[in-house]
Amino acid sequence: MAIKPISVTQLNEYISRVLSTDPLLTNVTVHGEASGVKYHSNGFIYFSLVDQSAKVNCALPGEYARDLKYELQDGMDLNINGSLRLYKKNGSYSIFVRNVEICGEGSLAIAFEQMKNKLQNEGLFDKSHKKQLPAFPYKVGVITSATGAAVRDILKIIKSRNNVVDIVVFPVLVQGDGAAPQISHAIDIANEKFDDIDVLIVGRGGGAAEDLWAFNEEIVAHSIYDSRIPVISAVGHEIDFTISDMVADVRAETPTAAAQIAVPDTTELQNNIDDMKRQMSLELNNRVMFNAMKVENMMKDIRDSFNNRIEMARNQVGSLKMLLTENDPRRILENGYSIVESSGGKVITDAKAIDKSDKFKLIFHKGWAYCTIIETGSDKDGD
Amino acid sequence: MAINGESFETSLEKLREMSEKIKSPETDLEGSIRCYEEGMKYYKNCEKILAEAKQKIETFELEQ
Repeated sequence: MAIKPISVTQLNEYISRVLSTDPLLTNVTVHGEASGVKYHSNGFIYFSLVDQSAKVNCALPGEYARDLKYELQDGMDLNINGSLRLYKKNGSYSIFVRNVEICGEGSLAIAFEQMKNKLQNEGLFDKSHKKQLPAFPYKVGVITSATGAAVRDILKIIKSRNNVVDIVVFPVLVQGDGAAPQISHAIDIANEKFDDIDVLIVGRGGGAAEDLWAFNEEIVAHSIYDSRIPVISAVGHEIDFTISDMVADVRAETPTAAAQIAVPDTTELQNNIDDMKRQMSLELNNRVMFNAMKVENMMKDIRDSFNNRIEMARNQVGSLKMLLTENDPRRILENGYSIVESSGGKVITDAKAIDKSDKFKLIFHKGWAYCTIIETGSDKDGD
Repeated sequence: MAINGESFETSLEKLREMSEKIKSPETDLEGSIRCYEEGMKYYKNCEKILAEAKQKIETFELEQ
């Protein structure tokens, strides 16, 4: 016997019931490419999942959309998980999505580019915002996994270079759900509670692109941007570039490199300051010696010119003496001339001046004699 | 950790400045003696900070 016809509504309600009670269809994971992605003002994200020959509609409610690490884009390869729901009004069904997982490097690259452009437009990569690292930090904060290779490498390098700087490790998850909020929170806490931290290293060791994803998330980018403490980003290997690297004040190629950038080598510093001290001593010695020599030279000049003056004066005195000696009138007495002096000591040069009653002194070259004058006279010309 | 009110960074900077200034031809002998004395003060400050190193490594557990 034929079943009695049922209404369309009844049919759709029946199918709806079947769909919502089927154990497979209430928790199904489907793989496909996103197409026609629309962010609706009611918070839902609507899109289709397609493959080569089929298409299914999907709806992601707002409360789950908030947990997405990246914006959905057409062309992304996705694994979505959810339950099937019937849209009774027009008899179509869609997947009510609870979780979205991005698959494949291509999709990650799309998400990365999108985030990069967004944050770039918001000014998070601006060079003018970048802070200078301190040359000599006293305390370094390290935000990374407590168990990874990164924290070991960082501690090892810092300890080998610098035994002055203190280190605070903030253990966080670096991959998987919850990693990004923890990293972000740690950066915020370091800024709020540690006014003595001079520089932060934020990072992790190498891994697959999806493992590094936390460092591409917006929440981490904003915490780095807002950090008062300068941040060195150190994610993965040399070839890995993350959003964190671009927001951070300095990008280190690896955690090891971050440790080298963060703290100076104290042995090297000691050598440097010793060098400067030596140079200062040397310079001061040179200057003192140079000035002593200058003083010595000046003293020698003074002594020399003084001696010259004395020598000159001596020579002058000598020649004057010679002149005097040469002109001494008594020298002529050697030739038989004599000098006649009156008793008053006056040299007689004219016979007319002679008073015959006076007594005269004759001075010879050797010796003298007193005499009296008998007669005076003059030559015919009166001399 | 600054000693005598001067951080390592400042002391190092001043030491470098004095070790340059002392070499300048414009610095006279008296000036160079002052440079030396001041430079030595900063040198001792730097050295003291380096020598008094007591590295502390701690872990700060975040409350989630």
